[in-house]
Amino acid sequence: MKKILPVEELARDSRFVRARIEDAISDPRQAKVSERNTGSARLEPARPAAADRARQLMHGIFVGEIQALEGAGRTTFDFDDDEIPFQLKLDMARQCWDESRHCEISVKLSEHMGSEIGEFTEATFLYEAACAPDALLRLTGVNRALEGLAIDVFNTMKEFGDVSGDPVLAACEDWMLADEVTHVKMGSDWLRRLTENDPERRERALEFQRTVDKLFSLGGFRGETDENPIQLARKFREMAGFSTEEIDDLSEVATEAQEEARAAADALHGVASGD
Amino acid sequence: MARVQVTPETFTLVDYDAGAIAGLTEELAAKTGFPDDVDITVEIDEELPLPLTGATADVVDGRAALWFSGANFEDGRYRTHFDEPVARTELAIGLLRAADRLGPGFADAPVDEQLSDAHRHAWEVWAEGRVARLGEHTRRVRRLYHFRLYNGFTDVADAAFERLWSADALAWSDIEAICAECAASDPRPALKKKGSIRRETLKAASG
Repeated sequence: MKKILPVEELARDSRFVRARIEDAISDPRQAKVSERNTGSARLEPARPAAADRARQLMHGIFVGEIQALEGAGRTTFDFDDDEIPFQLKLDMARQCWDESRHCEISVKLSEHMGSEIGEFTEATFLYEAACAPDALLRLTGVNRALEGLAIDVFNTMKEFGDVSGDPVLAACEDWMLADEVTHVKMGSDWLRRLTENDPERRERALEFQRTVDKLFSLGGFRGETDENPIQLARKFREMAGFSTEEIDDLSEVATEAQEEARAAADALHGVASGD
Repeated sequence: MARVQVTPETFTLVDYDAGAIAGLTEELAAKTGFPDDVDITVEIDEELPLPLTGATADVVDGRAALWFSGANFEDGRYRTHFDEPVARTELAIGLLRAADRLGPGFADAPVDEQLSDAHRHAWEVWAEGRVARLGEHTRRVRRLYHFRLYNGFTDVADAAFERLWSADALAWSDIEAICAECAASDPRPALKKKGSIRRETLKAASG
């Protein structure tokens, strides 16, 4: 079996259609929509198109779970026992079990909301971030950044389930959220253990995490204001081993990502309108 | 002048064809039994991508005025591409609701932008159920989820959905009564006032 599997070789059937993140960013409609003041971006029933927004997000969670499973699975196999501790591989194997369950739950939740597998596109940047050649970068990129995003997304969806009175959505998201806190905690613990005597390596790994966090903030998708559909889940991140300072940094990274996306959209809009 | 007018005549942001949409509207008007002597305007806001769906169906100066977000016709797998089966469903729902408004049973119904989400989605359930019985593609479970979101995740709401989906003839007062029944069994606090994505409504609200 091949080690370090490239994203192009991920196994998918004909229902799945890949999307490039650049296509979404360069879509001129995004800039036009952002010009409309449609109120809070938070996911709540009173927001326009709330049901279809929630359905699309749920499908995004589903494909994200597949990639999280694939990422954790690769880490159990891509490294030999002299490269990473066997106990770390066991933790990744346990994570695979959790992610498999999350895939099944996400499919059922999608069905509950009236979606079909493949109804929306799949962006594979989650898996791409999960394929760093250094295991330590996977701990920061996958367990702390990707799974950290999962904490924020699941908490947002759980709150949407609560406010919309949907007991199925709220309960399922709550259960998955508990798993994600554990996954992030595993990343935080292993990062500390593996870099105990190598602060420079730890800093490099954390720098990679910042890069991935910025990518996962998706130009304003995540943050702490009403403009962000996905809210930073401070309490659960603290439970997962993030310090207050780290969460503050992440909030700043999210704000930067939003400002950069806005500037890029303005520039694109200027080009399109000939300004 | 043609009976069906589609705006814009040329799409620049999405791969939609106004002529094809007009043709589908003519075909579906015949299939849904829409009155032959009533003009139809179809306005599509191509600036709105998935998942920003939304639609209104009103009668203005004696003609059916259908407005759709571009997202309502967009293929979720291929950005900006037209999804004909979904578009057919959306157009048929709009035509049936506009036809409802032409009859006396819906004379008291507020215009679409003033409908509550609960009423609006209940009416759409009834319309999509009729579309299903015409043999067109429909998305029943998606419609149920939309309905539950605004009328409650309760057994009462689910039973109401079944009645709406399979009903042959209803009046606005029936829609009101069904929604009131759902609200009485819905444990949630009253939902916030609904938002809008339609440009004209946003302008009116800010002005």
